[in-house]
Amino acid sequence: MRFKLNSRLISAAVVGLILAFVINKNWGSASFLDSKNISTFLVMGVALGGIYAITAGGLVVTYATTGIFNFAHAAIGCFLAFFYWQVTVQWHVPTLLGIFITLGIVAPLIGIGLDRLIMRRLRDAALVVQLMVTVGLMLTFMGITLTIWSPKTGRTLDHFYQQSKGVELGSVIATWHRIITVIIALVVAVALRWLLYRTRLGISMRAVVDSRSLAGLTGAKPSIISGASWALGCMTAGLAGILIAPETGLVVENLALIIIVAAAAAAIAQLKSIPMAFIGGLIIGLATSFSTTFLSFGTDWSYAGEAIPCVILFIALLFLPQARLETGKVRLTKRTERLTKPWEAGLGGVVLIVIVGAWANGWIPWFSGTTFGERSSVWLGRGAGFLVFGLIMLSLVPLIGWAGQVSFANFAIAGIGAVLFSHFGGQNGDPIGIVLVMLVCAPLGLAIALPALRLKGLYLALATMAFAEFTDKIIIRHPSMLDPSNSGILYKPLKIFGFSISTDTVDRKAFVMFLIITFALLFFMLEMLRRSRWARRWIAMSDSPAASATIGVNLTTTKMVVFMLSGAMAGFAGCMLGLQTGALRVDSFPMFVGLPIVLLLAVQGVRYPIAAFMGALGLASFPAISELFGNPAWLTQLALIGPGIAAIAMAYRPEGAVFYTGRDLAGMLPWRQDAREEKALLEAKVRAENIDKDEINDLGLTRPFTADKVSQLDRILDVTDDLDEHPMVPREVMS
Amino acid sequence: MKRYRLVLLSAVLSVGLVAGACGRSGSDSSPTTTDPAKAADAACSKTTLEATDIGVSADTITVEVMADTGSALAPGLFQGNVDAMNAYAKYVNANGGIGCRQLKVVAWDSKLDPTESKNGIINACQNAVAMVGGNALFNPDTSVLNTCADKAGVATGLPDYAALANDINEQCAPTAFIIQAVAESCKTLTGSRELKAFTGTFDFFKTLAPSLTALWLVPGDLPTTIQSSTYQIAAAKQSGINVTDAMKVSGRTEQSGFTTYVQAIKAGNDNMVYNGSNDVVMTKMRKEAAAQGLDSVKVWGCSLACYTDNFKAQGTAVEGTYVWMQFLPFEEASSNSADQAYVTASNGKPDSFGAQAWQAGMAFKATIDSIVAAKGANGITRAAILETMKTLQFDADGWIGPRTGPKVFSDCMVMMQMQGGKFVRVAPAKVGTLDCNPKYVSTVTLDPQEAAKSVN
Repeated sequence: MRFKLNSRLISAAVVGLILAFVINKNWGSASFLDSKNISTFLVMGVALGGIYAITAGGLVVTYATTGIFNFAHAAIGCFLAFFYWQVTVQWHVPTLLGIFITLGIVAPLIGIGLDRLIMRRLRDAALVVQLMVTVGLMLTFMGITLTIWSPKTGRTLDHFYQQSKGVELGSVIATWHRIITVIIALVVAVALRWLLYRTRLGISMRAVVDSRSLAGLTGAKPSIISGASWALGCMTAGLAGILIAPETGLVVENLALIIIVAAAAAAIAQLKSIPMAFIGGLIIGLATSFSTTFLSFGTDWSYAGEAIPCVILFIALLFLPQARLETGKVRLTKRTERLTKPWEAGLGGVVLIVIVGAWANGWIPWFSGTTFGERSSVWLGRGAGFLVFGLIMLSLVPLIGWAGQVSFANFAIAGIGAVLFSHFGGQNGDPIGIVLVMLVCAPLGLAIALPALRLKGLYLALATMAFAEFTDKIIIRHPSMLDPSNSGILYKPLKIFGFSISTDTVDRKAFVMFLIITFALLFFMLEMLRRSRWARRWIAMSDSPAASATIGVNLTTTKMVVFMLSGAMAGFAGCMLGLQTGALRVDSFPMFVGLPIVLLLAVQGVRYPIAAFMGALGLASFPAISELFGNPAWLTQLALIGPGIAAIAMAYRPEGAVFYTGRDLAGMLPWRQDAREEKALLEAKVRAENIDKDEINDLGLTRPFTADKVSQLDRILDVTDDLDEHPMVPREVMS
Repeated sequence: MKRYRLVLLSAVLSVGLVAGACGRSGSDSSPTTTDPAKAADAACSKTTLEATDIGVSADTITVEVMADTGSALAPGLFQGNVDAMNAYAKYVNANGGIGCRQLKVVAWDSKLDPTESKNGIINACQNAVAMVGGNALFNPDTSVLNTCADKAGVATGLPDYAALANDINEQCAPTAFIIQAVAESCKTLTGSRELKAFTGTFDFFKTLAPSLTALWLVPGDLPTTIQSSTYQIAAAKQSGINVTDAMKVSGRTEQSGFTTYVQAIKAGNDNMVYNGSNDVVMTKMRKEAAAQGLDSVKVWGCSLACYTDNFKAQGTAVEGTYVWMQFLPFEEASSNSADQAYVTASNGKPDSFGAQAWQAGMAFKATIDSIVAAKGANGITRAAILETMKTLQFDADGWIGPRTGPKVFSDCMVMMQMQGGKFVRVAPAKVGTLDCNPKYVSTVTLDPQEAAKSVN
């Protein structure tokens, strides 16, 4: 019999060997044969697993019934846990009634509200928009919770049956609260599985995700079904929040950021199977418990335990089946756009330099004499920081905007770049170090591209998220990368063309000018690249990998090149980030900082290089607004709620602010006759399409009685799903 | 966004609370600022006031309080510092002012961001005569603090009366006067070196149970917080406490994760648990111990990090926990005028960070009073402040112990215990007193980075 090698088997063997090596290398003093250790491991692992499972189950059910991966799931649960505390502890409502009010009334209302206001508009949006809107929601819910329930006030939510002893297993006691949590997680998993596969409502929920129109033909009401889906998602989030809060404490960050662990458990379930999500949660809980009980990672890898969820996430994604090239589904994610001419790109770059240069030199008169936006040493330092983040955003434009490869890893690459620069020349102010860092970060981007060869869409985004978390917890924290005993400034001023560039007060203006010039050059380069064959390949690949492959585009090479380009740009930005920060800490590059960077770019328009500059301006607006109002305490949450609301606005403006503003303003340019004509055409179409109730009687008389008009009539009479018939960007314009 | 609030609190309190403000022995209050203050008042009537330096005009003295208050994930983290300084300015201005002028406080939010911390120092250098009452967690670049130029363009440096300095660079800055004094000798910042640690608490704990075996909970979110625990652990061992295990802990860990620590306590037959992390950790530890039926622990010890309303709100779950501090507690504010003034000004919501900021404000005022007494009201310059700071004798009107100079390690303490949902003094017994003894301060020699390897 011929033995056939299976790639999954090989992967499993490799992963198994690596795990065995890691476990053997870091085995601590605890004996696996000791029953005390075993009972500790099991009881703690199952308890933690129950917590993760119940969150992951809700995440999966939301995805399965809405098609949207909801980063805000745990944040919604957090909000509801605080609400439950308010009801039961502050208002002394009995527990069961409190649970009913929270999960039976408030949670569904939130879900239906989200669906009506935001989520149904995301149905056909690009993946990055869908994800970023939910990231925005996460920030908003965190901000709202912190605003309503001040973190300075002490709150406690007791375990259920806290006074009862629980069940003794060996030397460890499993408390009733934890037993209840695990049982509820299991029951919820089974019940939701039954709901989704054995009931008409559940089948309709899944059908609506697959095809709204087809589901509608079978009698389902897509609008109502999607509302019910979100209501169900919020109820599971609330249930998880109430059960988890006594374990984590009523602390917003602890509750909201458990989403990272839940995502790993959901990935094990391939975001499809709720029972598998339960098992995924248990696996992570047990793995965490195992490492705590039996392993000792030492100081070199002392944060390895915290990286377990992301490692499991990565392994789970590794075992996902290879993404198939979809046929018969060509989705034009973007309209055919006019390419920027070289002279326009050059002029744009010069304009950027002139604007920032004028500000940096204090030549903009209307800001002078006030503290608001005053060109001071402080604001020059901040300006450098905003431009550095603008550079990181710029590195995402070809990757996400053109090639459609959603990545959350570029901030992590920038972090690696910053640390490497402190070794490669930054400590001497040597500019050649920047080149070396870029040469390292380009292949690093390539390494991230490897999963991209197998994965796509959401799974790729999760893989890059896992990489970012791994970088934060393992790579950057290794003492050989960033020595924890180092204190103070790691970089000497960069010497270029006789200029000294650093975060020192006297060097800040030169730093800002250097950054804006490099930004403008990269902006010009990208605009030129957009006109090239490579960019056309990336966009074609994004629109339809199958069609691209059919016409001879090598998808592997195409993906690898864009990841390398993006990695090199992020590495450069990292050097600047190090120089701008001056001193680095081991926790300077947490994964969740990478999310708002993508968010800010997406809000502006992820396909446009100029959006990176606008994103940097968006960042600047927070301290500017705060300063304008005299830094009041009530504006503190602006940093959370502000980007959140901006991201939610994306649901209404999915192409990004740059697109809509540019469309309106381009017509004002003398040489853009095309923009004026397009705008006039668009306005005429909108006028022709819009009718109101008063005009119904005109149909067939002064207006043609077309299929479109019938759809509009249905919409007015509220008998159809309006967004199916009226996408935000009219089909004519899309084509 | 830089770090979670819980991590930050752990970091702050583990780094900073090794040290403490100086205290006074016994019950005698010996305020040392009274005479210079009276002399300063007398000097005011004779002088035509002038603008003498940056931040010192004819009618106003401007200081900056820099604290991490506006980070999105940790809103209001050190808001207590800002509130206390604003309240202190009101209090001072209502009671005759400072240096014959009104005190003006400018707040700067360092946002847990090293860049904003440096910006805050730059801003203070340009607009204030000194920084007072600050608490910025990440402040690694203090170059401007050392080189800041005065009105005449001379690089005198910027006086920094910090409530709490967490970053070693700020701790050892030559212009810094730190209320929560530092363990470092500042001769060298790396390798094996001498470090100070407070051991009075351990002496007290030994009176409760002569033979103590302990589990030490080490704030493990940052390498620096782990390292700062190492010399405290070494000092505890020197004091005769058998530390069987030192384990990293995080406030983000779910309570289930604390089962391991309970098992370690059982395995080590420990009768003491000392928490070097924050109140959230101690709460989870106590709750998990109760859930696991652990009743062998006689001493639950915690640093000032547990002296919070949040901890008090946990009620019976944290009953019996010992919390030590190096200033007179708020519960007995009526026994001390400065304590009372702060508690009153805080509208009944005092916190330990705010208390230290208020004390920093008092130290600054004591400095200005000394200058005015010696040089007149037009003698207030950064140079004069820095010169006077070096020999300043100060005890915050008896709220803390007496100290001389900018970086002093306290040998005083008050031990409190959670009883019935309240903090109750247990040592020294007499209200309004601090227990001070030079023997309470130990010196250990070690390399914290190397020693951190022994923390599990």
